Amino acid sequence: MNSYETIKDRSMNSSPSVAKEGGGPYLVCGTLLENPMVVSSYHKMRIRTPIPYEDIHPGQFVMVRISEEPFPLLRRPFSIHSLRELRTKEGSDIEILYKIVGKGTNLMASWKRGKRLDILGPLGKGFSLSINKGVQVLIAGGIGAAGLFALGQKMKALGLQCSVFIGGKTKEHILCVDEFRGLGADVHMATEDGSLGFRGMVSDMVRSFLHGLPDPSGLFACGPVGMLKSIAEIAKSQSIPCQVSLESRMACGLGACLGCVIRTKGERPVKSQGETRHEKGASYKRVCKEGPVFNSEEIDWRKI
Amino acid sequence: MTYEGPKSPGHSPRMSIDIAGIKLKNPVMAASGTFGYGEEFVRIVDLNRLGGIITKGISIKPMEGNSPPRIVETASGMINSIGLQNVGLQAFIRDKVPFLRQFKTPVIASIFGGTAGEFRELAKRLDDVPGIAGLEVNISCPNVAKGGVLFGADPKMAHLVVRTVKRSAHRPIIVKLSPNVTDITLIAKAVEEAGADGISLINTLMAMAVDPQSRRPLLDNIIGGLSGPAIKPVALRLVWEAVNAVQIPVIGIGGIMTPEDALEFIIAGACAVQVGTANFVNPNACVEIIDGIEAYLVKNGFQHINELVGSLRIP
Repeated sequence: MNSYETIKDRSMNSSPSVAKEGGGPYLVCGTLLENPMVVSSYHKMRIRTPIPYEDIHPGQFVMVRISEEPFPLLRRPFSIHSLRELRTKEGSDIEILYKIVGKGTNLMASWKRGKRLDILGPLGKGFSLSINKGVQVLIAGGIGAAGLFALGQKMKALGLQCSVFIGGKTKEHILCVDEFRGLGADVHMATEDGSLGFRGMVSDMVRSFLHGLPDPSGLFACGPVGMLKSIAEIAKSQSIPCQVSLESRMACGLGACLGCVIRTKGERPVKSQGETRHEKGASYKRVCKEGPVFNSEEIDWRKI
Repeated sequence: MTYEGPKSPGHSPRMSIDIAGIKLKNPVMAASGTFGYGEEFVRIVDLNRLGGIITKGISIKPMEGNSPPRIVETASGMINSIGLQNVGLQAFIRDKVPFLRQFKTPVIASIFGGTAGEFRELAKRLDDVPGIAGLEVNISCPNVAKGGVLFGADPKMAHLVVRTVKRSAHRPIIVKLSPNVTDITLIAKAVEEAGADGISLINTLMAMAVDPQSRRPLLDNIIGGLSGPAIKPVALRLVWEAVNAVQIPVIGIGGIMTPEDALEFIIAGACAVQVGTANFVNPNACVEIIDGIEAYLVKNGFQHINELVGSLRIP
C-alpha cells in the first residue's frame, strides 16, 4: 500500500485532474517521521508528504489539522521549516519547527512517529528570489527562525552568500544556529539578557552589521512584529529591499475566510461615475494568500 | 433501485431536490462567507459535486471590512468579525460569476445592503446576470452597524426588505435569518408573507471573547459572530421552530461538520443544509457530507432524501 495516500479516498477520487496541474495547494495525508523536542518548549516535526517538491517555495506554509474532534477546531498554520525531495520523486519530507504555546501545539507535541497527519499546503506566497547577487541577510527572532531555514537552503542551492542573525530573549530562544552553520552561512546571535552572543536587540546588531557591509543585497526577516518593524525601518533608511514573513490568526488558509488580513499601503479600487480607478490608500491583504511574505514597504506598520 | 453512488458521484437521483424552484443535485450547499467565490477551493474540491454554492455576501460598493484581529477560536467554534469585506457588485459580476458559471452547480448570490433601496438595486442588477440561480438575502449579518441586524431583528423591517427584493428579482429568493432575536417564528412568518421563496438559518450568534492577561477583547470589533459545532444545538432548535412556523422550504445552517449533523437538520424538517465553518477545517467537508448522507439513505432503505425531510419521530 502506498504509505501516503490522500487523506480520504473520496478526496483523492475527486481531485486527480486538479493535482496534475501542479502548484497546489494539496489536501494530503502525511506520515509523521519524528517529532523530537529541540530545546525546552520547541519541537521539530518531520513529515513525509506526497506534495511535489517543486511546488513548495521557501516562505510558504502548511495548515495542520490538530484533531478530528470539535475542539481544538481550526487547523494551525506553520511555516515550512525545511524541505527535502524524496529519492523516489514521489513527494517531499517537510519539517515544521514549532513552539508549544497552547492547546493545539501541546497536542502536537504528544504525537508519535507513524501518526497520519492531515496536511493542507503548500499555501501562500513565499519569498521572492529575484534578487541581486550580494550578501543576503536573514534575520530571525525566536520561533521566526522556523520560517527562514528553507530560504537559507534555497539560497545555498543558488550559490548565494548568506549572513544569518538570530535573536531571542535568552539563549533558550536562539534556534537553528547549527542548521544555518551547516549551510555554510555565518551566523550571528543576539539575546536580550546577554546570555548568548550580542547583548541587546537583534535589529541593533543588524543595523551595525549593515554599516560595514559594502554590498547588502536584501533583507529577509521573520519574527515578532516589533522586530519586523525595526528591520523595516532599517531597510527603508538604507534603501535595501526587505521581505518580511508575517503571522496572523487564520481559519482557512485558502483566502476564503478573510480572517487573517493585515493593513497595507496598497492601492484600492475606487468607483466613481461608473468607472473604477485605483487610488492610493489603505487596503487589507490576506496573510494566507497575498502573504505571508510581503515587501516591508507594502505594510502599514502603524496599524500592526 | 440499485446503489450507484460512487460511480456517478453527486448525480444520484435519490439526492436531487428542488428548493424554491432551484434544482439541486443534492441538498448540501457551501454557506456564504465560508467558501469565498468558489475559486479559493477549486484546486482541492470538485465544485461540480456540490449541491450549491452561496457566494460571499455582496454589497453595491466594495467594502473594506473591520480592522484585524477578525477571528478567534473558542471552545468548539470560532468568532468572526470580518465586517462583510467584499469586492462589490460590479467586480462580482465581472470577475467572479464567469468563473463559477463553468460548473454544473447552482450559484446563489448572497446580498446585503444598508437600506431597502440598496437591496432593491442589488436584486435588479443581478436579475439578468447569467449563472445566478437565485439570491440569498442576508438580513441578519451582525457585523455592520448600519445594516444586518436592524432588518433581521424587526419583522416589519424584514418584511419591507424582502418585499422590495421580491419585486425586483425574478429568480427565487432565500432569506437568511439571524438567530439573535427573541422569537424566530415572527421573522420567519414575516418574510414568508413578504414573498420569500425559502428561508435559511441560522447566521452566526453574537459572541465575545476576552484575553484575561491583557484584559483586551480578542477581536478588534469587540463582538463578532460565533459559528462552528458549538452552535449546532441552538441552530437545530431554531430550524425546528421555523419549520413549524412556515410553509416555504427551510435550509438548515449552523455547525454542520459531519453527515450525521446534516441528517439531524433534515430529520428536523430542513429540506437542505448549508455547510460553513467546516469548510475551513476540512475543505472537502461538503463532499464528504454528501457521500455520507447518500450512504445513510441507502443503508436505511430510503428511496429519496425527501422521505427523510421532517421525519422526526416525536414520542
